[in-house]
This record gives sequence, structure tokens and C-alpha cells, in this order.
Amino acid sequence: MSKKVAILGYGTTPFRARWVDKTYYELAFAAAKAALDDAGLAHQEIESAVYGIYNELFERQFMPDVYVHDYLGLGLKPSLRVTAGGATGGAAIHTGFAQIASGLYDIVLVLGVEKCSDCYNPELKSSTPEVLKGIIYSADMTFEAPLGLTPAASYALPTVAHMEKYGSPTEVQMAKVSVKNHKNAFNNPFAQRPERITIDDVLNSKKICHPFKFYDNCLYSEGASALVLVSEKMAKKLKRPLGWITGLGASTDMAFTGNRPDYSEFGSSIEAGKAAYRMAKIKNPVKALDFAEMHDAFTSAEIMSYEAFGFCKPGDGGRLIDEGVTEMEGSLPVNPSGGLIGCGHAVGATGVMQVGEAFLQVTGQAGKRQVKGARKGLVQSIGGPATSWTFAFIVEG
Amino acid sequence: MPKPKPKPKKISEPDRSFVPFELPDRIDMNYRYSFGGISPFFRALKEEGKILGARCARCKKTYLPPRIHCSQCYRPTKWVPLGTEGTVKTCTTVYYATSRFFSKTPFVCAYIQVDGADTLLLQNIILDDVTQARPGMRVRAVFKPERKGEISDFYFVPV
Repeated sequence: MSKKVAILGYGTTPFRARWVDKTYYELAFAAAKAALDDAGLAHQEIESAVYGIYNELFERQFMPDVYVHDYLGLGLKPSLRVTAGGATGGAAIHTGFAQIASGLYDIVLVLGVEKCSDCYNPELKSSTPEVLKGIIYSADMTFEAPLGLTPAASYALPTVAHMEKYGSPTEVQMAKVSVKNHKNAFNNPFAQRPERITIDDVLNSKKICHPFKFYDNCLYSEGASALVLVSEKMAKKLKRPLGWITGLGASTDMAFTGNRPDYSEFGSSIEAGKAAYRMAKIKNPVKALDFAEMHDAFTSAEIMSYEAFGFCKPGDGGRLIDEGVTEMEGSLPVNPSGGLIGCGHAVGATGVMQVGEAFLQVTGQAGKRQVKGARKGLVQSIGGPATSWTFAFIVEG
Repeated sequence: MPKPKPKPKKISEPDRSFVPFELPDRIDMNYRYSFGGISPFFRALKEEGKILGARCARCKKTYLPPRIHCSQCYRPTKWVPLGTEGTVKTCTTVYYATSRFFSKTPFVCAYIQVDGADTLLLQNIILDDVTQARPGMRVRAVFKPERKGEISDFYFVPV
């Protein structure tokens, strides 16, 4: 029988384009300290650590987790690094959850961290193309990377297929997601890029990869986020706000998009969503959920994810943003944090930040971005070529 | 065990006056990469300008990119020559690329179903107007005269 898993504490650094004054292990330290302070625990009380770190090239270090573990003073305690592309943070929480649910440990630190802006191309005098180069080593090196694939193209290809099949999302609907998430970020003190922009600003921004313009893309970020997960036995001893991970689902789709039976949808999100809902006994997600933190790597991904997670029928996701359902004032706010577009995408940290945000929501600690009466939320963490991995979580107060 | 909850501490803003000590650096690695079981695909591409698929007789499924085992029934596949034409299933135009492809933009990436294959192959389409790539478009393969045995030894153009 699987044991219940609670979230006892959460801490994060702000997400920023570059933390010039911190290395990856110094960022990790800041998040770990904040999470431990929030949990009221000393680092010596941690029984096991799970690290979510995506890309060795970003950190300029292979096996970066052992250096984080050393810096956190956790020597001789068990540790494990998890890496799953953009879903690295979600994968780390999935692993930490399993360690507690199995009864192996009672107190687990799950920490996600990522640098990236130390990557720099001296000829182009820019970080971005070099960061993208570092990511594309994750695309298939034989058949796909040599053709100039980019992370945006990897999402644009299923998006175009989806538009072809359903006539949506339209570029205007996509722009509305960007406007919403940039706006929501104003309420999040940890967000990298709150901005007041209009639909026209999005539509007229620089073309990146059809149909994505500049403002359709998430940010790339540096930062660290940490959660302290505990068993029910441990949670009961403590009188402090608790979140519970009551549902969890995971699915990994074919890495070659062209191998999928339907390349116009996020199959792994559909499967992970079903599993998480089943575990949390959710029959009607629209009624049951008070909010969702979704992986808006690109604006279309958020809309296609509404469909994958059953907020509406396939092809109808654009309507939800048109009708304002997923706005802060709507009946099912999506990305109160600002999401990856407004708060940022510090890859290994992102999924941890999303679940941390859900924890803040269900414990009434989300400040200006608090969804009134939030008791139950969904978190989606996705990664890999055109969403290979999905980790989904239901977080309850 | 657990101590009383301390007051939440604010994580400080980055210190704008901080002057980092930076050095240029790079990670370098050389390979002699073996294509293993799919070596015949790259040999046929380089030496004959041909596209080979991998056919599972039991599942009646032809893989391109090829694989020497069928991922559905785990039986070995057989090499079959494929046509040089295909249909675009989905496509995009890349305007902002990685360092390596930065000066090559804009270019088109598409998933193409090559005639005779059941899966889709990522490839570039060369067009006079890069905005004109569309799902449903018929395309044919063009093989570069100087080939190294890489997937970029060929590309597609509209039929």
C-alpha cells in the first residue's frame, strides 16, 4: 500500500535571465536553505536528496548533482540525480514521491537547479543561440539534430499539425496566452519577466519559428527551487501548512515525433493526466480543479494542454482562452505564477517551482497571485522532443 | 525534531554592483561514431543516393528513420528501397536558430511521409519562398552531389 506524501516546505530563488553572482551550486544552496527554513528543518534532518538538473553543457559540469550535494553539506546521505529534459523538475518530484510512498524515507529534499547563460557564443556575441545549441544535443543526433531543429521547431511541428486538424489554436488565441501569462507574472515576486503587452504586440513581435513569434516563446532562465517532501507520519508531528500530492501520473511518448500515431496532440499529457485524475479520484477536472500550473513552453502548448487534460474536448482549447476561463478571474485560472512565459523556465527547477506554486496556492500563501479558496490544483511538467515526457500532479490543501 | 517555523526570509535581489570573474571556456569531444546496425542506410545514402527503409514483415510496417528491430513485435526488420517522393505531414519555418545554423535561417523543417514508409522523417525543404511549405504538399528528394553519409546529404523540394 502506497503511503501518503505531503509537501512540508518550499523555497525558490527568483528566476532570472542570468545570475551572474551565483554558480549552479550556490543557486541550489539558496533554494535549499529557503525550503528548509519554510519546513522548519535543519539540513541534517534530510534523509535523502533528489536533484533535478537537465543539461551538463549548461552547468559546464557533468554529474553536477554530487557537487550540489557536497555544497549542501549532505555528505554520506543518499542522493540521486534525475534528468528528463524540460520535465526534469517533475521527474525529480516523481522520484522523491516514490521514495516516501514506498516507505523508504520520511524526509526527502527535491531540488531543481539550472544555469544556462554562461553558455555564450563569442562570434555572435550572444547567449541564446549557444543555449539553443546546448539543448539540441538532446534531439536525435543522427536523424534530427543535423537538420537545424530547434526547441521551438519541435513544438511548432505538432502545433501546425493541430492547427491543420482543428483550425486551432489560432495565432490570436496563442497571443492571448502570452498576454495572460506575462500579466500574471506581475503578481509573482519570483518571476523573471512581468510585462504589459497586447495581442498586437505578440502578433507583431519578431518571427522565431512559424507560427511562433518572440512573445509566444517561454523565457530561458537560471534559478533553483526546492521542496521538502515528508511522509504522513512525519507530517502529523508538525503543525504547519501542508500540501498533499494526492495524484500523480507519468507517461513517456515516442521520442521520434514521426513515430507517434497522432503527432498533432500531446499523447503523454493525455495519459499522465488520466493517471493523475484516477489516483486523485477526479472525474470532472473542470469542476474539481481550482487552478492549474501548466508547462507553457510555447503558447500553443498551453492551449493544447487544456485539451490533453480534459478541460475541453480536443480542438476546443482555444475557446477557453477566448472565453477567459483560464484567466485569473476565470473559473479555472491557468498559470497564476506567470508560467514559463512570465515567470521563466530554469529547466531543472521549473517543475519544482510549479509544484511549489501549487503548494503556496493550496495553503493560502500565494500572496497577490492567490486563487480565492484554492484547495486543489493540477501541475503539468513536460519535456523532450515535442513533449516526450509528462509528469502530472494533483496538489491538495 | 522539527523546530518552530522561522520568519520567511526574503532571498536577496541580485547584487547589481557585483563584478564576476569570467573566463571563456569550451567543452570539446571527438568521436568516431559507428552507426551500428543502421550502417547500410548511411552507406546506401552516401554511395548510391538511395533512401532505405526498414520493413517489419509481420507488422507490415516500414520504418524511416530505419531501425533493425521492430519496436512493436521485437522481430528483425529487412532493408527495403523506398521512393524519393513523399508528402509533407507537418512543417515549420525556422527564423531563429542555434549557433550552428544561425546564418542559415530562414529554413524549413518538415515531417515527411516518404512513399512506402509508415513513419515520418524530419527533413529540410528548399523553397524559393520559405513561407509556402504546407501540410499535404508533395515533395521529392534531391541528393547532394558530394555526400558524407549524413542525413543532411539530401533534402526535399516541391514536386
